[in-house]
Amino acid sequence: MADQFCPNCGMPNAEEQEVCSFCQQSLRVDAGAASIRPGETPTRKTTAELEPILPAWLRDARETARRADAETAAEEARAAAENPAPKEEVPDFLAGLASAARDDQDDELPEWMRGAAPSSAPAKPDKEEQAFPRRSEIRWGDDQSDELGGMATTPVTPAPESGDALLPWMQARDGAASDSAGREPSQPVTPFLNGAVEPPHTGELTDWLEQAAAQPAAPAEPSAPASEESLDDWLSKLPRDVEIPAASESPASFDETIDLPDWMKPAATEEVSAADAELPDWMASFREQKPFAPPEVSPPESAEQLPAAPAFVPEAEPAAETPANDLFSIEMPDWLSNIAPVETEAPAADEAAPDQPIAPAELPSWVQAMRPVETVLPDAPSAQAAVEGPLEEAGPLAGLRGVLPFVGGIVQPGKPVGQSFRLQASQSQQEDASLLGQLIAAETQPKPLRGARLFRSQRVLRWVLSALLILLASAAILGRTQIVPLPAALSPESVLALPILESLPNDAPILMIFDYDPALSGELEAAAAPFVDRLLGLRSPRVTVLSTSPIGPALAERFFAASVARQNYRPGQDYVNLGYLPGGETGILSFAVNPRAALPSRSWDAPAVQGVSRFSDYAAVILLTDQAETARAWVEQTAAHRAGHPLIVVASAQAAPMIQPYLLSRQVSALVSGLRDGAAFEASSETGGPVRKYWDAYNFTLTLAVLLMAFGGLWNLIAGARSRRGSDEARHES
Amino acid sequence: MNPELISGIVGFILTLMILSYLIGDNALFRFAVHVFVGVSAGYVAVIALYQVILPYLVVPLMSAPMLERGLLLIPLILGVLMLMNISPRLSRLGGPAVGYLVGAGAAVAVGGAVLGTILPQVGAAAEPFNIAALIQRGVNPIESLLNGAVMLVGAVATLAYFHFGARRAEDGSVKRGFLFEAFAWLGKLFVALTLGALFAGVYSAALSALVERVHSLFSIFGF
Repeated sequence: MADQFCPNCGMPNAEEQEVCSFCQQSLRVDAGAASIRPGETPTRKTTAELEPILPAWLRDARETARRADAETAAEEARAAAENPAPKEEVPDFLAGLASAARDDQDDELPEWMRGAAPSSAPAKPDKEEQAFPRRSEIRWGDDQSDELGGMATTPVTPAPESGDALLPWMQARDGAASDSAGREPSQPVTPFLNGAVEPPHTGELTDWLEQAAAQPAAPAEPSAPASEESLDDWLSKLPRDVEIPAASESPASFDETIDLPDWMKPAATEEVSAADAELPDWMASFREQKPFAPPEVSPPESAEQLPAAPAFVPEAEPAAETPANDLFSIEMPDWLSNIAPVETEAPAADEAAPDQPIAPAELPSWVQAMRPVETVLPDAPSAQAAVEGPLEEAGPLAGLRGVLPFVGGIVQPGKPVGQSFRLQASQSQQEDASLLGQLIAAETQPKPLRGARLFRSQRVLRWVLSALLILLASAAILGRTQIVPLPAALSPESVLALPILESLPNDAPILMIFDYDPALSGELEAAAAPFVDRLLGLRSPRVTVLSTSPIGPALAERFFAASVARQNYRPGQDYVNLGYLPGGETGILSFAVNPRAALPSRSWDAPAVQGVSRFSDYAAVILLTDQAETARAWVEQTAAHRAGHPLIVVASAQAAPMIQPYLLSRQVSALVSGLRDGAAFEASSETGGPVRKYWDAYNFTLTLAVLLMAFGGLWNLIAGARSRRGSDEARHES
Repeated sequence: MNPELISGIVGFILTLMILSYLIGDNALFRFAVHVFVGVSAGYVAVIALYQVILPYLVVPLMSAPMLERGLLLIPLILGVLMLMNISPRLSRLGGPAVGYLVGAGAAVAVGGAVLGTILPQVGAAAEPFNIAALIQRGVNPIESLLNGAVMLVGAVATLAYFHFGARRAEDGSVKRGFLFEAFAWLGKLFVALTLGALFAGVYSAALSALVERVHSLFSIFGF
């Protein structure tokens, strides 16, 4: 058999053990720290000095509990004064059932124990659903079995799993109970003594009742003697219609330091005086202790001093009237308590000033900059008036009209809301925009098509003019007419070439550049042939031929083979065709800088280019071109490398006007242009040539073209005059 | 058959095809144009191969000294990069070569224009007003001054005609100043005369080509 019991779980352990083998708690308990046992007087301990070190939330919870207890005690004292309870008839150990039944833990009770609750009235009338539900079903004294059944519903503490083992504090009274077993009258009235009632087979309950029966009667005030078989009498003393005050309403009679089972703590809150006579001996010790004096808690002066309550605690419901709220208010952590003031103050503010408008927010500068201009400009009412709707006066939408729907329930989805944004444009910009709009509108308007009659007449006119020119030229060529004489004198531009020809040394190297297209080869060859023929026949220069056009070298060969065939110039011996000079102006400059490097060819070894290594070695440069740009490029890029040597340009008639400025600035030494200058050179040389074959035809067609242009101009003048006269007459008539 | 006769007949037929444009755009004209473009392109390709690539690149790479060959790698690489313009994906690689060509060409053109055209032409425009030099050269100064004055007025008036700056009048209308308006009108006259002279030259050149072509057509048949 075990020699010692665990002070924690009460299980027997060997004497030499220091730690409980069941709950692993220390078996050596300090006397001062040991929990109080029944029959011992608890020693009140002062823990006020420990208050400051408690957490804030715990201090608030304790404060709330004290205040709730004070209020509960006050109400209970008031209720007791109004309705004094019959103290003699209620067994005090059953009185606790009422308070237990009033608790919200009713669902946790077994079904068979609910009928034992004698509470007749709820503590709070407005919460009748929390009152003891089976009170009206109990038939006191009518049926023994019913009454016993009701007794059997007395709640018990959870028994250890060992079942039959007595609790330690019960075993401590074991000896005393056995000694007083023979003193029947002194035993408290219990329904289990006569064996008429079989206690439920919970084991622990049976032992507990036996232990309770073995306790000696209370010595102070022995109750009235009860017979051993007077179970009915005992039951008859039970209160029938007396309301048992709620346990929560008498917290002053309960000391928290007593180590009682939880289910019995509410019973201790009953008024002790109500059951002094029938109080068992083991519970009589409770009466000896000093009644709990509720601390005088002064009401808080302001709302700020109240402890923080959880958010889910109703503000209107006092915490002292609901024991469950006491529990929640005590066990709530501080983080929940901190939430409460925020949520409880907001509705209070709303209730205090429901009509107060929303305070305007402070907008950042960039948000203010995004607000419409109309809100900034006071003199822009047009935009505001254009949009209907309420004008927002506060908030981010201040100044906007019609942005928010002013009718609460009716909103038409999909209907666009007009905005007050308008482009800020000046009057001139608006005029330009309107002009642009008119131009665009004019482009989209259909235009009447040109009449087919006019188009047909123009085509016929073109055919007629072409036929006239071709027929006239053919007639002149086929007729071999020489009606028109050749020019007797050279033009002022071409006459400048004569001194150059006279000054050129014999057999001097000259450079001839063929930069014209085949389309104008007839004109260029006719214009250049007399001049070149005179040059070749007069000075017999060594000619170097090149071209910046890919077709130029072929045209040069054709020129020497046909136009100046009379001079019998031989390629390689008398002239050298270097070919195509690539690179455009860059190639020209490169050739002017270093001819042999710019145009590498074996032809540089020919006798015609002997002694030519630099551009300035050429005695003269003759350019045959039909484009003014080509002449300009040669003038610009070779001016610094010619060393004063002449540049003679034989140009087409269409390029001559653009080359004239270079002739006047003496950048070009002489200019031979068109068929007319060729005819003049041919006439001056008296050697004949191709120009004579063309000259009549050229002059006939040119005269015809001049006459046609003059006739056309005169026709347009007359037609315009008639049109203006007709319009004037029509306007005059109208 | 004489090659000259064959070329003459071909030339005659192609000339008639081109002249058929007088009756409107037709297949003969387009055929002649396509033949001309094709022959010209082929001819240019042959010229570029035989007169540019071979003498400027291939032959030096095969026969030139090593230093010169190394220098020739630069134009070779640039030329290869230039070929990348054929592919749209690789055309970006041809950018450096094109940039080099454009940059060098622009530099040469600008330098030549400033030194070869602008400065000499400004000096030539002021020369008729140099009376001492004219007398020294034996030129009548009055005639030279008149010519110079005409050229100066023509130049200023033409520049004024192409000046489009104006001010807004009080009534909202936009007009140039009176002096600018007068010079602009005179400049318009000079511009018209210049364009007339250019048109006369172009027409004269065209008539010369027409007469030469008609003569060549008849010359084939012995006329």
